[in-house]
This record gives sequence, C-alpha cells and structure tokens, in this order.
Amino acid sequence: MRHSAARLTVLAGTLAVAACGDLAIPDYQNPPLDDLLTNPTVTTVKAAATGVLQGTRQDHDTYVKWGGIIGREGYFLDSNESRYVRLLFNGTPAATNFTGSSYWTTPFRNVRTAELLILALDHPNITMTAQEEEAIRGVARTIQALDLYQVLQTREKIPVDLPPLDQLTTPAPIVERAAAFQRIVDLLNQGRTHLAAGGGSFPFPLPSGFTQFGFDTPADWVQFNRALLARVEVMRATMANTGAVDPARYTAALTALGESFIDLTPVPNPLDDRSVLNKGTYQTYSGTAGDVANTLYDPSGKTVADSTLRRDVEVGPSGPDARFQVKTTDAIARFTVNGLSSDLRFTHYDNRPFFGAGGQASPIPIIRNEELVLLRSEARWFTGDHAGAMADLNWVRVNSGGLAPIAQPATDADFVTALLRERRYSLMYEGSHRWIDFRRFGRLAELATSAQSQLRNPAVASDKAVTWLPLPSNETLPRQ
Amino acid sequence: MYRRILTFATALLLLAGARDLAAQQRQVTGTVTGSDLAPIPGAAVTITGTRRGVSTDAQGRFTISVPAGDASLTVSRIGYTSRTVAVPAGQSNVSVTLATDVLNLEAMVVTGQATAVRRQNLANAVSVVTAQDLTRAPAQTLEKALQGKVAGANISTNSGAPGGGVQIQLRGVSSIGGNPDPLFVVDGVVVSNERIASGQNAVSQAARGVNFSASQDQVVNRIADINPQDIESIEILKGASAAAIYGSKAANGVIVIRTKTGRAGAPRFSVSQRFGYSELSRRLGSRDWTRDAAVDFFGEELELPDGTIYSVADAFNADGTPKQTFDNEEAVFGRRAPARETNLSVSGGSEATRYYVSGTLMDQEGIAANTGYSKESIQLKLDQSFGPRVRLGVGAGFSHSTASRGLTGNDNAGVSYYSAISFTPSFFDLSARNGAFPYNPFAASNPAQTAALMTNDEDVYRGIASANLQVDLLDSEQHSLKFLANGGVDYFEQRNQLFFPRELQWEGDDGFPGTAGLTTGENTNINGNFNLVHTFAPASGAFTATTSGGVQYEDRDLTIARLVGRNTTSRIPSNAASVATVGDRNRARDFGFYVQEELLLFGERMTLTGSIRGDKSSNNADADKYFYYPKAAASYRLSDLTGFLDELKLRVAYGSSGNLPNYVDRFTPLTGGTNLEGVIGLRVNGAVGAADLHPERTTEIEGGFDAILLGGNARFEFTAWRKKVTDFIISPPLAPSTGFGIFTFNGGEFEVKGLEMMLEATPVRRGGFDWITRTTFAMDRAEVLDLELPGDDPAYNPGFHFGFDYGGFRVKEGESPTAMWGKSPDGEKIYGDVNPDFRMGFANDVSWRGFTLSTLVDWAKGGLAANLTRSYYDDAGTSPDYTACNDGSENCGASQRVAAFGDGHAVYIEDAGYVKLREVSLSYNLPDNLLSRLGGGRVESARISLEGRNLKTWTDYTGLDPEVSNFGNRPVGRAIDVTPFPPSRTFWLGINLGF
Repeated sequence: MRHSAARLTVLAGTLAVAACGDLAIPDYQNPPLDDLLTNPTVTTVKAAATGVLQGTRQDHDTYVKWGGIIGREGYFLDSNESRYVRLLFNGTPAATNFTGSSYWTTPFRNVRTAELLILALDHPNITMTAQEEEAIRGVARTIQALDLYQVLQTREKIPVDLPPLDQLTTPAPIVERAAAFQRIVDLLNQGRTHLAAGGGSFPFPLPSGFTQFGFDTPADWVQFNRALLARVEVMRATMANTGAVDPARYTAALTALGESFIDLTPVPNPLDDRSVLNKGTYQTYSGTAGDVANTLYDPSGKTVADSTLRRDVEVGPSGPDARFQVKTTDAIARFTVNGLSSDLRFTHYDNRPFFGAGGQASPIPIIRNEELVLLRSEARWFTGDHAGAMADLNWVRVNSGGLAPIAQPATDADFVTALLRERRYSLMYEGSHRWIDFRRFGRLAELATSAQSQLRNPAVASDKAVTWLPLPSNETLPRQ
Repeated sequence: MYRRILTFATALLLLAGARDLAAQQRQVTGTVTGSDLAPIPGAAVTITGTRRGVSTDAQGRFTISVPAGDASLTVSRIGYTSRTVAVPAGQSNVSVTLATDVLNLEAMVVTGQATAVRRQNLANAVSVVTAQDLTRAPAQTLEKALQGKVAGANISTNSGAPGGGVQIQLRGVSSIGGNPDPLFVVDGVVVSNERIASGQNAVSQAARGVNFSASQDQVVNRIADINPQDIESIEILKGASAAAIYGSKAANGVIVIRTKTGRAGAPRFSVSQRFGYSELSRRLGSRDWTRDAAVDFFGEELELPDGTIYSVADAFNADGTPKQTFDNEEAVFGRRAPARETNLSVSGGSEATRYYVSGTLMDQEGIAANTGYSKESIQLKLDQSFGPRVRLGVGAGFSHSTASRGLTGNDNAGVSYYSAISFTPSFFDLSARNGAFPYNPFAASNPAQTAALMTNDEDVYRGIASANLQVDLLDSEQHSLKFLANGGVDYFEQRNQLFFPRELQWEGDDGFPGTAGLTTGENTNINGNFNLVHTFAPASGAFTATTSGGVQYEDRDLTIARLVGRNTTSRIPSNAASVATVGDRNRARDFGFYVQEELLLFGERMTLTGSIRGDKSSNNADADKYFYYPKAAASYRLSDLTGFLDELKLRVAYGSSGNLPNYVDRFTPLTGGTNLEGVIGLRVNGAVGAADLHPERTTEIEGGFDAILLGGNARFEFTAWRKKVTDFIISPPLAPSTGFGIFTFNGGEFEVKGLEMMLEATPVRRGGFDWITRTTFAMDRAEVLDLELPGDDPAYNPGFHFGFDYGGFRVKEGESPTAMWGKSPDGEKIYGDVNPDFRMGFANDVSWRGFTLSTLVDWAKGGLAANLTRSYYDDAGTSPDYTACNDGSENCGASQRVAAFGDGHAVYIEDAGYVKLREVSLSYNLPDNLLSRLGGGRVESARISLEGRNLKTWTDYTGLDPEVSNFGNRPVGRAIDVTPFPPSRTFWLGINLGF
C-alpha cells in the first residue's frame, strides 16, 4: 500500500510539475513605461513627441469650459450634473469633486511625458541628429511651459518640479506665483534656445493645429514660443491681481512680441475672412476612431453662451460686432438648471470653426494673432505709449469687430474697461480669458453680478465668482 | 474516450494492493424506506464503527456481509436523519425507516478540494441551502434566490433591472478595491463570475470626464447564468478559515454548488409549469403644480426645436389647477409584464449508470417596454461506475439567456429613464398619442419613447462541462486510498446589442443621430485538480484520520471587443458613418497545491483539522512566488446531555485565504493607443504598479457552538468571528503634480468583527400539521487599523462615488472602510455606514394536509445610501414635497434641501434600512386518491402553487429601492443611487407533476 501511494504521489507530482510552468502573462493593453524609460528607441521617442502634443490638447477643452463658466462666458446646463451651476458658477468649487479638481492631472502628466522624452533623447539608443534632438527638446520645453502656465491661471500656487521616479510619493513643494511664473519663463527660454538649434524641420509630423498657419519648422516655433512668453509677461505684470502693474514685465512682453508672429495686415471684411486674426497655433481634435474629439462641440444644446453677450453688443457702421455675429447664434432655451438658462449658443466649435470642418474636429486656439495685438495694446499703455496702445486696440475694433474706433480713455481704469470689453468679444470662450482678466485687474465682484439678468430663480443667484480653483484633494492629501 | 478511461482506471486499480479478506461472515438483507414507506435508493448501509458498507438499490434494498454474531448497521442518506439498528446474530432480514432530516443535520459539507465531513462534525459555521429552499418562489437568478436565507451573507441587488447584477458579500468587506465577489465552484469547477459592461456608456456618457471605465453600465455578474432549478445544494464557506483550502482566491468566501444528479431506478419525470406577471412595486411620485408655480419655474412657454411653442400656462385651468395630472413613472414602467417558466427533468438508471437530464424555458417580461429576461438551458449529468472501484461523473450544461435591460442608472445625457422622468413635471404627459410620442421640452429625452424604440439586449451563451473521476485505490477495513481528479471548462460568450434609432428625441444631441453598439465578451476558465485522499481508521476505533493532498491549475482568459457606430440607421455598428472600437483582454494563470489532515476522535465527537495551501499566480508581480495559506480547526460534540439540550458542539477555526490583485494592477504602462490625426503617440499613462504586488490576505478566527435542542426539533448556531485583512491592495492617488495618477500597492490592514446566529426549529409537528421556522441574524463592524500612506492623518478616497456633496467613501485609519462620508459645514464627516447595523431573515413553512404556506422576510436594519435620484428631482423642481412651495415660499422640504446642500450639508444621505417580504408561496399537494383518479395511477405527485417574490418593502428610504449600487459589485462603493431601474414584484401560479 505504501508502495502504491508513493507511486501515485509521483504521478500527482508529475502532473503538478507539468502544470507548473511559467505562469507569467504580459500587459495586453498597453506598452510598458520602460519603452521610454529604460529602453527607448527612435520610434518610441518620436511617438512620445507626438504624445506631448496629444497630452497638451487632452484637457484643453476643460480649461476653456471651466474658465468660461466662472468668467460668465458660457455655461454647461446639464440636468444630470447640477454642480456646474450649483458649485462652479455659484463660486464654491470643491477640492474633492470635479468642480474644483479639474484641469490639474492632465497638464502635469504631460509635463512628465515631456520630461521623460527629454531624458530619453540622451539614451545611447537614440541615433538622431543633434538638430533633430534639439527640435524635439524645444517642443517639449515649450509645451511644458504652456501646460504649467494654464494650470497657474487656475490655481493661486502650484508645484513646478517633478519628483524623481523613485520618490513619487513625495510630491514637489508648492511654490508662490512669482516663482512659478519665473519657472515658466525659464522653460520658454530654454525651449527657444533648443528650437533655435533645431534645424530646418521637425523629425516627427505636426498636426493641423500647427501646420494650418505654417508653424511647421523650429523657426516658426520660436515665434510661437515668443508669443507665449509675451502673454506670460503680461500676466506677470498684473500678478498682484489688484490692478497694480509692473511696467518692467510689460517691457519684456513688448520685446517678446517683437519676435512673435504679430501681424497687423488689414482685414477687409471680418465677417468673411478672419485668417489674419486667427493666425496662430491650435489644439487639434478629430472625431475619427482613436483620436480625441473636441467636447466644446456640443450639439445637445447644454453648452450655452452667456446671453448678456447679446445685451452688451456694440453696433458698428455695418451692423453688430462681427465677433458676436461670427461666434454666437440664437437658440432655444432648452435647459434650465437651478434657474440658469440662456437662448444664445457659440458657433466657433460648431459650424463656424477657426478653420477646418468644425464639429468634433474644431480646433481650440492656443494663442493667435488677435490676442497678440491686444497684449501689445495693454503693454504699450502701461509702458506709457498710450497712442500706440489705442492704435492696437482700435485695430482690433475695426478689423475684428467691424466697429468704429474709440477715443483714448482718460484714465488707466477706463482703458482697462475698454481693453476688457475688446478682450471679451475677441477671445470669447477660447481660453479662460475673461475670468483671468477680471481677476488680474481686481474686478471679480463686478464679474460675479454681471450674469444676474439671466437667472430665473433668484434663490441660487450668484454674487460670488471663483477667484482660484482649490488644489485638488488628491494633491493635498498625499502632502498631509 | 470510454476505453481510455477504462484503461486508466485499470492501471490505477493495479496499483492498489491486495485486499484483506474477512473471516467469518453472514449475509443480511433489508430495505430502507422513508416515513411515507417509499423506498430510499442510494442510502449508505455500513457496519457500525467500521468503514465497510453498501448502498441500497432503486427499490431501497440492500445485501451486506456482516461478521457472525451480533452486529449493528448504520443507515444514512443525505436528506434523512441517520439511524443505527441492531441485527442480532440470528436475524438476516431488517427493515429501516429513516426520518426526513428537516434541519439538515446530516448534510455532508466540503472541507477541502476532495474531502467532506458531516455537518455535525464541522468546525466552521457553514451554511447549507437546499434545492427546496432555493426554488420555493422562482427567482431570475441564483443570488436573488439566496437573499435572506444565509446568516452572514449580505446579498443586495444593484438595481431592479431584469437579469442579474447582484452582490453577495460574506461576512462584511474583505477588500477595498479588489475583487468583491466570492469564489463560485460548481461540481468542482471554478466558474466565472466575470462582469462585462454592456457598452451603454456610448449613449449614457455616464463615465464622461471620469475614468470609471464602464462600471456604470448596470453590469451583470455572470453567476447569473447558473440556473437555480439545476441546483441540488449550496454550501457557503463564509470566511477565510473555512475557505483557506481554496487559497488565494477565497478571501471573499466560497460558494460551493452541487448540481442535481441522477437516482437509480425507473425513469422519474418531473414537469413544472408556471405563469406569472411582474409589476412596478415602488414609485417616487411627483410635485403637484399650480399655474403660477409652473410659469415661475419654467416660464410662460417653451420653444421646441421645430419652432412650435409648448405653452406651460395652457396646461392649467383658469383657477390655476392643472388640467390633468400624469403619472409618468407609470408611462415608462407601468407594464403588467407576463412571465412563464417551464422546467422538465428526468432521472433514473441503474446502480452503475445514473443519469439526470433537465431543461428550463423561462421568459419574464420586464415592467418597461423592451425589457425582460429569458433563459433556455439544458443540463445533463451522467454517473458511471466501472466496477466497484472507479466512478466517473460528467456534467454538461448549456444555457442561453437574454437580458433586456433598458437604459437606466447614471447618465450625463439625460437619456436614462428616471433621469428624464425626474425632470418632467406632472402636468406633462409622456405617453404616445396615436402612436407618436410627444417632444419632451423639459428634458433631453422622452423616456417612454426611448423605452419603446431602443434595444439593449445582453445575450449570453454559456457552457459548463465538468468531469470527476474517483478511483478507490485501496479499500480495506482500516485503510482507504482514493484518487480524485476533477476538472472542467467554463466558456461563455456575451453579446450586447444596443440600438438607439435616429427618431429618438435625443439621438441628434451628440451630432450623430442613431447609435448602434455591439460588445462581444468571450471568457474561458479551464481548471483542474488532482487529489489523493487517504483514510485510516484503526481497528480500535480510536480515530479516523483523513490525509489529502493535491494540486490545482486554472487559466482564465477574457477578451472583450466593443464597437460603437454613430450616425446610423443600421443595427450593425460597422455600417455607421462614425465607428469607434475598443478592445480589452484579461488573462490569469494560477497554480496551487495543498496538504490537509483531518482527524475524527473519541467516537467522532472531536474533529481536528490542519492544512496548508500554496498558491502562485500571474496576477502577482512575481508570478513564480508562492503564498501560503494555513488552516487549523477543532470541534467537540457533547451529547446525551440532560434536559432540553440534546447535543452541544463547541468549535473554533483559524485560517487564511487571499484575494488576487486585478490583472492590470501590477503594470506601469504608457498610453499608446490613441492617435493625433492618425499619428500614434506615447504618453505617460499614470498608473504605477508596485514591484512586489501580491495577494491581499484575510486571516480569520471564528468560534461558536451549535446546540441541538428539544429532541432534535431545534437547532441553534452561534458564531463570533474576527478577521484581519492585511496587505489590502489600494490604489491611492499619487499627487497628480508628479505626473502619475495612481499607485497600486499592498498598503494596509483592516479588521472586521461579527456575529452570526441561526435558530432552526420545528415548533409543531403533529397531526399532519408541520411548522418549520428558521431565523438568521448577522452583524459585522469594520475598522481600518493601518494605512501605509504618507502623512499624519492618512486617508484616501477610493472613488466610485460622486463626491462628498452627495455622500462617498474615504479610507481612513480608525474608521470603517464602508463608512459614508459627506460634506458638512465643518468639513467632511462620517454620516454612518452603508453596511447595515444587522441583518435578519425569517423563514417559515407551515404545512397541513397537503397545504404548505412558506414566507421569507428579509430585514436590513440601518445602512446608508446616497440618494442622487432625489437630488435630480430637487434640481428639476419636481420633488413631491415641492408642492408646499407652490405658494412661492421656501418652506418646503425640497427647497430646504437645496439650500442646505448649498451650505455644504450632504442632504442626500439617507437611511436605507428595509424590511422586505421576499417570498410567499402557498402550495397544495394533491392527495393520492385524487392523483390515482386523475392520472390513472401514473402520476406520483402533483402540486399547485401560488407564489410571490418581493411583494412588499417597508422602508424610510425615499428612493426607489434601498438595495442599490450604481457602480455594480464593489467591496467599497455600493449604495450610490442614481436613477436605477425600479424594483418590481412578481406573482406566479404553478403546477408541478411527478410521474
């Protein structure tokens, strides 16, 4: 008996060994991080360069939407999610939910992708030319600066460093605005240096958001990079958020604008051809399989424009402001959430896109010529060139709005009022501009009450606009 | 195949040694019958105190050789109380009558991969549910049939949608974010309880902007495919100590299912036919409007997209009262839905060959148009003996089911039924007029139209085949050695067909009118185990020792392909103008081995068990590393006690089992799938898997006693248990500014303590009047002991909620992991726990002269839920308690809730305790004289029954159903209520014939 039991044990043991081979199974869904980290190839590096451009567009629509709601540009009236109104519009975004935690994770993740890409370029596997590598570094640094800048416009203070990969549970310190701005400027300057050494072409394909207006060589990207710097310097100049300004930063902005793609070619008919105004760089979207659609395209009618845009519109010699005519249309007030409703809709992510076929493939501006002219107007004003400032401001009124020029305002405050008017219609619902503008000139209280007229239910009328979104609880909990 | 098995069996037989020959023998013959004098086939007749025995044939007869001189025989059969009878030296014929084992004292309960002991010797509190308990009132799926019947099993439906989607949680939580479900073993085969989302997210956009994947698709867990009608018995190993032998997949407990097998004898047919219907059992109601209130809220008139005007004011009379009030819940869910169910089975064979064949045809329509659940299944069991030593059992079952689930649960498009109903005021009628549905100006969709025109069908084709081979290598007076091999394949294909035609009000809202979806999920589980069991019972009778050991291998492979076509008139998604596809694959391979020793001592009064299991799995970061799960248990029976106490068993058990990481948890990937105008990019994905990721470990100690009282007429079970879940896997967020999102690692420890009690009794059994009653009680409390996160006050939010504005979850040291946290003006605080304070079940069967009345009441005391459905009604101004605000005041409940919400109170967290009348059944067994007249003697039994399920709910909860989980089965993250499918009650009339 003992004998046979032993033999059976052997039998079972044999079966066990037979079944006991290698159990390991790979990741069927995704490539490993090591494809970039420890074992990069020219192919993965080029793909990661495209990845950086994917990463920056990924949540850009959220950036526009959130700033749009807070800045009383446009609303998202979702019966299923009243917190866009109850919390975000009403001035109480929460760190623990999407109202306060959005537009945070994605930009930082892209900063990391760009950083890993830059590291990978130094790997001995990568046999690209020095110029090709510099071109990619220039793109990576410029986009890092763009992502951090946009985050910094949503929160008061942010971290700007990436912890080493083996210390991910210890996030980088949160820095003051001045230091964060300085980091962004440094990144842009590094990016410019790399781009300048980047040769005549990029080693990876650029999407239509860059090629549409010819930003397809490292040299063109230098202009784009300087345009971003000009915007950052103007924002830095008004960093106190009280209306106080720092003329030195405006001077730096003027220098950067001189190296940018600012273009004052007259626009014969702003209702017809806005390509001079729209010249610039864009985030690219598409509805085709595997690509990402622009969610600002919203045929459901939940996304509405603030109807005071119509109430406040100016009428010029040949009709209402062309910017209003082109970018909005009347609609039925289909949705009411907590009393908020509107009968105006945007068209610039729909049937009248900045370029292209529109719909889900509508591009969102990163920065474009019309904004550069307005930035120069502001910078000129606060560096004492009032005439130059008015020339730029009126160029926008005439060439973009089809409106008559205005006379020079008497005071700085009046100029700011006039500037913010033009910025409201020129940069409508394309990059949180109105929120940022009212904040940096200390006028948020005015902004908060500006939308009262379209609220039906006074119980939820807002008299409070968000100053900053909170740091998401995901960010603060690991720091406690 | 047959020859190969024979050859294999013969080879094994040759390995066995020679048998001891008994000396002086005599023959005893006899019959075994039940108390109704019907023969009992298959009863085991053994010589008392030895292992030698035979079983009865189809006529209940047996012949056995016994030693010369006085002897005694022990006769036992599952379902009957065993008896020992004396056979004096001169007696050669004996007849034995067995009484029905009403309280299941004799059931054999699994204690290992290949071993079982009688329940009376068990050291763990294992619940046993029999076929009779399961099918008293038909349930669509197995889990629903178990509700309220098992102490310590918290079984909750996720919504009222037809088909499955039910979570069984045994003894509280065993994980935070890992697999929430117990392991299901059917006839020795580990079967899949996989959850495959339907793809309805394509239209509901429930997961928009949040990476919840598809968990909000009102997902069905696939154990729903097991037909309750085919089940003979279910044993529920509730904790780690009982389930330790199943190793790293058993931390949530194990549910061991045995399907029905054939009985020797002439073919016995059984036919049952039921007809029934379902109806909506709870509704929310809606505000009564006055004209002024309506005009104030909605405006005088509303413009429709076609340019026509809907006048709000016109819906009212001159005196301001509404012209008509409509029940729009009824318009969508008002169907009195017919149901039918047919079950057929035939069983028979010889002692050597036994068969059981059954089939089910079931079709239950749902209370909304285009909803329902239907199932067709066929099951075959064949048991063949090859001589006295080799037995082979094979089982094969195939089923097809269709669950038409409607469109419910969370959505972000206004298309889920209750999401649109909530926004529709009661003066507006959603129902069709002359076949045309009105445009609903108050919401994105007209849900009555959506229900009437859409398709959301889940078809599942499933085959489970099992084989088990038992070879008695050795069978002597003192020793036996068995070889058991057990294996099988569980394969299913799930197809979700979705179609939302262009004419739906909302179908153009995404710019692409018409949506078609097709999800195909294919799952294969292949597993097998090989075991040797040696039993040694020395002639002294001092003890019986059972030593077993074996190996197990499992391969699970799940592939999902999902196609969504937009802008289409075709049901084939690939024909659409815009097509999106996603795919997914999950695969795991596990290997394990075990050894176990069970000792029965002191005349089977004492049981001692010890075992250890080692497991490795591809789901661990190191696929080659073994993890070990020990077990030790003891029980002692005190019998022949005085007074009312017949027997008292004291027991204690200790053991560990595990819960594997999910397939994706161990990886640190890049995202590579998306493109930018056709150019593929690579980006940081954000997920980081720990380099040493390994299974969660639950270590449990349980102790208690079982008392048999009042001459076997009552049984009381008491169990206290405590389990520690160590190395539980969490995926806390990394600060997103690091560029990474979640870090999955083994990061903490929590403890759950609980009590279970059960009292079964037959208070009255006389004069043809029988009353059987069973009461169960269970409660548990959990606390996080350690959380290995940085910081002084570590906590993290495991997700699967909609923020603390409404109520959500936070894992924090010193608190319960299932605590519901909500906002308050002083910050987030705990409002209570979603786990009930306790649960009780009350089952009663009363029989008299062929009539049987059975009832089952299920009580969950306390437990919270976040009622977002109510917040929809509040947002929409349609909550019933808004009526008091028609005067323009702000003094009604709804208005106060909205104000309090704005002030930072989580007003939608509610007590979700309930009492439900789960089952009522009244049946009548036709008496024999009537039978013989009707059936000409051929009909052996006939029963007519009236049955009802979920007839009544008593609750303070203001939502549709306090049993709710928007995110489906979750260890932490249930009890979030967002516009679910409402509950229904079902009535049945049935006839059952046996011949």
